[in-house]
Amino acid sequence: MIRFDNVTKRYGNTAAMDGFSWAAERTGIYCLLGRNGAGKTTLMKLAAGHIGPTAGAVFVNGAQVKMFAMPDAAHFVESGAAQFNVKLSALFRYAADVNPSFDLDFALALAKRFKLDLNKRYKHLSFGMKAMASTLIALSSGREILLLDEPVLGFDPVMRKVFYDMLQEAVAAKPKTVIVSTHIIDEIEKVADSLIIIDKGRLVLCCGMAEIDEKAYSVIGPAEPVKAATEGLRVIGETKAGGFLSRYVYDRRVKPSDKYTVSGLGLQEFFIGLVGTEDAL
Amino acid sequence: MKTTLKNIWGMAKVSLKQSKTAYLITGILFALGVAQLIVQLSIPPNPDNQTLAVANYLFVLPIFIAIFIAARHFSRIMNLGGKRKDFFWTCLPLYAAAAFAVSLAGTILTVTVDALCAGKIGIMNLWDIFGFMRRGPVVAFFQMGALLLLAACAAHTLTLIQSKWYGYVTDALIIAVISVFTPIAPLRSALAWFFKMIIFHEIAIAQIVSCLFVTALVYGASLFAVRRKTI
Repeated sequence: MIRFDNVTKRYGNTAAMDGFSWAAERTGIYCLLGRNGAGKTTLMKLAAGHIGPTAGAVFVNGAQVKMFAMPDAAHFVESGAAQFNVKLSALFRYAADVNPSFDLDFALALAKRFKLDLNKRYKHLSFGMKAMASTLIALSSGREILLLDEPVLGFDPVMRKVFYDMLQEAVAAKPKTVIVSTHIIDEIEKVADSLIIIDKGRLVLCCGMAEIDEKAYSVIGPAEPVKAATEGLRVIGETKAGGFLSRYVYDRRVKPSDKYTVSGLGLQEFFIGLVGTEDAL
Repeated sequence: MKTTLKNIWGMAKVSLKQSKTAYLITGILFALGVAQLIVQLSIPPNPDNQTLAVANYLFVLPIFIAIFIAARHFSRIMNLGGKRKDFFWTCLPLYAAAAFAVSLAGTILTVTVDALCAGKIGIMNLWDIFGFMRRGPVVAFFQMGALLLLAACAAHTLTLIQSKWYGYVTDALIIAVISVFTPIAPLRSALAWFFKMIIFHEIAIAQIVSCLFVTALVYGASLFAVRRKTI
């Protein structure tokens, strides 16, 4: 469905993507994680044909993505997207005019569910509501691939809950590939099927969420037994407190022992361990 | 990735609905023109009093539509799920419709309002100045329509390339051509030849074909900008 072949994207001297290769071959919700400036937005814009690569190629449904011939299957939306300053009902009708596959009834139903006032002009909406309007346009676009860049930015917790429920329902009703970038990791981990972690324009990890549950864990205990148990495993981070050591591991499980405690690792700790060790742990 | 008539029509509808600022500016100018005409007719008639024909105020419509679509609509249409390719194929027929609609309205005003005012006040009308009315209103309609289409497409392409280095280079080139060509006789004659071809040519069909040819070149150049324009 989406394939990146050795893609590099430079902005002046800065490489936002650096020899990036990755493919999404299954439908479902992909959680895209990365620190600020890691290349998340660039990845999505490249897949949607909003920008072109400096080197390499991006393919959507087998066809190479070009800026002029943008892929029909993909819709990219960012939370701060500029929209026409019209009533929301008119904005949704515009979306239906511009994109014949847009499902207007679905958009109106979603707006009702989110208690969006369809008679309000876009500029009169709060930041969160604007983001919601753009996200609803994406969800109703009828496209198989949705690229949502920080869709919950500005949402209150209730809105975020409804949004994630709705996302799952939308994917269940009509299989599609949804790539969601967010910094609110605890919430997305409950709905995502797969995880992509990028850092400095490179792929750090791509796996199913079940794999994280299985392979990401922490070993806590006196330093020596913890070191011995985790020797040869992929340790992604560690913390020390007195004589105790906590090691975060992404690998096969260690044997249970009464000398240390093994417990599952939350996605946030796992993510920080993978990409933020130098200044976070 | 196929551009269909449905895509073009849908995008054109949104663009026209969102061109209210262009309609407003044109409306204000047209209203001022009408007011001026009424004042001129109210005072003791004097054929030496020259006034601009109301039809001429309509010229700004296709040009402003093109400027607003290129400057403001592009990103918004893309954020609604539009495609660059559809945008490219939508704008040309849209500008053609606007140009020929304005030309039709202007031609009708020329043969009605200007004719009514003839002898009472002096009317400056580009339809006459360009010599389009010499061959009758039908030919004038096509000539002015072609010229306005060229103007709209030039506004579209120039607006799209602004804020990019090639936009600044183009602006500088246009200024350079005008300022360098005008004082130098041989270059001035080249410039005069160009304007003769697109405006003053004695053969109407040659003027129309010239306009459409330059329109194709200018609009084709916008492809370069549409491909690269950031959303």
